Amino acid sequence: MATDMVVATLIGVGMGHYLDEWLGLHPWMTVLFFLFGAVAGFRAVYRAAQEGSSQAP
Amino acid sequence: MLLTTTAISVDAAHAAAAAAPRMDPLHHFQVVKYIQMAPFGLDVSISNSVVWMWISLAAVFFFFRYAFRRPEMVPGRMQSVAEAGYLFIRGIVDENIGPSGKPFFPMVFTLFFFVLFCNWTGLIPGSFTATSQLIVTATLALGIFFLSIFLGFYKHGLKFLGFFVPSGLPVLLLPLMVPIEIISFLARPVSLSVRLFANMTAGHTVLGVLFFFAATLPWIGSWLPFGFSVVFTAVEIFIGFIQAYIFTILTCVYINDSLHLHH
Repeated sequence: MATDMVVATLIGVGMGHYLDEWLGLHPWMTVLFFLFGAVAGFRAVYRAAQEGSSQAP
Repeated sequence: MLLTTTAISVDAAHAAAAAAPRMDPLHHFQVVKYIQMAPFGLDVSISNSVVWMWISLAAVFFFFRYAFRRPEMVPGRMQSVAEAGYLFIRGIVDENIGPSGKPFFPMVFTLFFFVLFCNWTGLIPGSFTATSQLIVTATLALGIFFLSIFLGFYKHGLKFLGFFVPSGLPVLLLPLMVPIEIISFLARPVSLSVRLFANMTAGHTVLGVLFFFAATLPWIGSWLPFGFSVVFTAVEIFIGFIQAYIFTILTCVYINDSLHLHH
């Protein structure tokens, strides 16, 4: 599940970077999408933990 | 006189350093092209990666052919193993997709045994682990990713885009949640491929380091890394199974998400 967090954050940063290049808003989109990516990573871990606990007796 | 002796000893030291075994635990990840082929600029060379994927596929094929050479009502040893594998994958598909997952069973079954045998044949000394190449795992993961997108649009049409809008949220939060959902969707194939590739590469690198120490240390120190390498080979067999299992389960989860559109 650690991979999920890293990958989500990196994808967020990458999307933000390209949006910045496209819109010329350096560095705001990168910052914003870094946060989105980090939240997505935490959500993936949270979801995995929830699924694990609901299957446990 | 002193100068010449030092010169000789420096030369001797260089010679000794060149002759000494060099630790290179990443050596066995090197792709070697046996037959160079690039028709129309497309590189389709036969490399050791390709050859070991063929060997893995052949191993799966002949294992099941051998196991079911004379199918019996009361299965023999090999047949029970093969049947256990079949039931195992069927349990995964039923549990994660449900009755509508039946058409995907052959694909999931093939995927699991391909990944499993690629992981396991990589443990044979002198062999090559196809799943330790990111391009191999990324190809598998991207295939699953595009299959899930295709299934979503095929089954639900444009309603599939509702997958990115979590239900039961105030409209004010949507600009926050939709990018997060899109990022987690895009992260799926990347994390799926990186997980398998990283586990295989890391495990085999550790094995390489341990075997190097076991082979080069004097006997008084070599028994420790040798013992560890034996234990770690067993661990690596287990990891190969677990990673194939995780890969299969996540495939089923992604297909299920596209078919049934809920989290």
